[in-house]
Amino acid sequence: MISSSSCTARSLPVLAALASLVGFSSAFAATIVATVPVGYIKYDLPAATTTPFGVPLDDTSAPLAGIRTGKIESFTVNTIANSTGGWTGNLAAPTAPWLVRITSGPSAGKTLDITSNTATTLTVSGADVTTLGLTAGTDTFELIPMDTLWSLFGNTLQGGASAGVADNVSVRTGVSWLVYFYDTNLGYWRRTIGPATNSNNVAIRPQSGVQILRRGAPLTLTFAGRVPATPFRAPVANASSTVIHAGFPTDTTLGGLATQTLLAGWRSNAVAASADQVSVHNGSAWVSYFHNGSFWQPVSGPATNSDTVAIGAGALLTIQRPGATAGSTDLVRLLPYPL
Amino acid sequence: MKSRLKLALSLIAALCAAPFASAQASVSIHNFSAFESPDTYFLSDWELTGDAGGTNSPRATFSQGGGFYNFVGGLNDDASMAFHFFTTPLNITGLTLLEVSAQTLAGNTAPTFTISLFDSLGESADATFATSAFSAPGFVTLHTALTFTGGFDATDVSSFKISGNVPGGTDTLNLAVNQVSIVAVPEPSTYGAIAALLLVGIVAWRRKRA
Repeated sequence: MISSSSCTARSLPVLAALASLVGFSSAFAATIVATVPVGYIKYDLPAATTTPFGVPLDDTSAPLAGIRTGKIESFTVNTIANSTGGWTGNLAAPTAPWLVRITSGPSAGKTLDITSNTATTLTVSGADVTTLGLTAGTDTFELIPMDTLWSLFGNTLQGGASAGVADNVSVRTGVSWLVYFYDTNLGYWRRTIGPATNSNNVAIRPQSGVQILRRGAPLTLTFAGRVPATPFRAPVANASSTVIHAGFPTDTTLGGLATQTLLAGWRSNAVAASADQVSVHNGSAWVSYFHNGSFWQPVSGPATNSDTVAIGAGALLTIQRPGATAGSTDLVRLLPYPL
Repeated sequence: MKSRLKLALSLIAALCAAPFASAQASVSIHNFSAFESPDTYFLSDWELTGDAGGTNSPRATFSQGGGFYNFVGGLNDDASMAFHFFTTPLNITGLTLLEVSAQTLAGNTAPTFTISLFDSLGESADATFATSAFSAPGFVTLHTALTFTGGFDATDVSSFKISGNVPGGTDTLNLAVNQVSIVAVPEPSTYGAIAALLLVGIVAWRRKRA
């Protein structure tokens, strides 16, 4: 479907009730009810342009059955249990996968994939749960739905019989971008290269994002959701590149974000090749910067202080780390607003 | 005494092989004896005409060698890459190391290269190597731990990619590759058993000499 403005499948159920970011406390007589604010974020997709973005808002959907938040009563290397879970549905269905987010303790903000579940136990992957510093009976979790190509975009973007005429959506996975388009002949999302396989269920991880090459007329996408209420925690590869957004739906700058303070082992250096780098998209191209120990400066060109370079809400950052060290390290950003 | 030495050496050989006999020890990803094929795509600077979308045609400076493939003259940026799709998905369950046999070629300026595996839903497992580690004459075989995304399905590996993988990279990656495999991490007890048996062998050998 081609339109000048489009609400995605994810935004449709709640957008009508949202004119702008909604305040998080409401007073009813003598009772004060505090809720995490919800809102929406818009991205303009100019024609014939690639636009990168993330969605730093949580989907507010609830699982078909069972609790969405609760205490971690017990855990093992790869399970989290709550005796009142009530998860009788499949939380690992490829069409509607769920994540667990730890919401308290030293690993607050950590997300884990749910690989299977019973009514009271979630089996997870993505980290050894016993290494997260959890306290059984004290620390808490919440379930959040993971977006997929279909759940986030449906068929609202321009499809086509080939990648050359359809909008191309690059999805970040690990250290790579994989490119997909909606094949109107086959009626599903598929890779732009290789055999045609149904990719509707490709996951779009909440800490990362997509790049859309818009082939059609200019389009505005609107995504609704709840403002994050826990620290932002995203694994960053120790070598090669990782793409994340800034974690929260607020504008910031390179200096304000201070990535060099958010990732243990960050390499600031007077020489770009020896430093960790952050690339920011300026609307037409990615521009790389490194922290020289005093301020951010461009990798190319004069050593100008670039601390004021803007990073808009939902903008993507590419973090490039030299070397060949295996594994990843969590980048952690605390809430930039009070709740 | 000679038969005792033979027995000890036989035991060493048997016990060294034993840990790898029961579980799958390795899975070959590609042997690069015929890398160019309808299942292999080259993108951007690694494609014949620079097509960012990718085709089966490599840049003119790439070439097939006898049992290896020469990636020569291409940029190390993350848009330039070679993708290979398997006709049948591979199962690498239990294997966590990526092993590559490669040789850095003259003119290389790229500091690293990355090999990524993908399942059919695009989840990945990645390994990055320093090109300097492959600069000795001849092919060098090294392995490193794969870094997995959370939902990676080890039973459904459908494609892999080679790239310099540096955003905006302008260096030249000159590399010959002759084997990529996924291998197991030997158990610590395996190292212990091997060390103990080597000790037995050495003692037997020293007794024989004495």
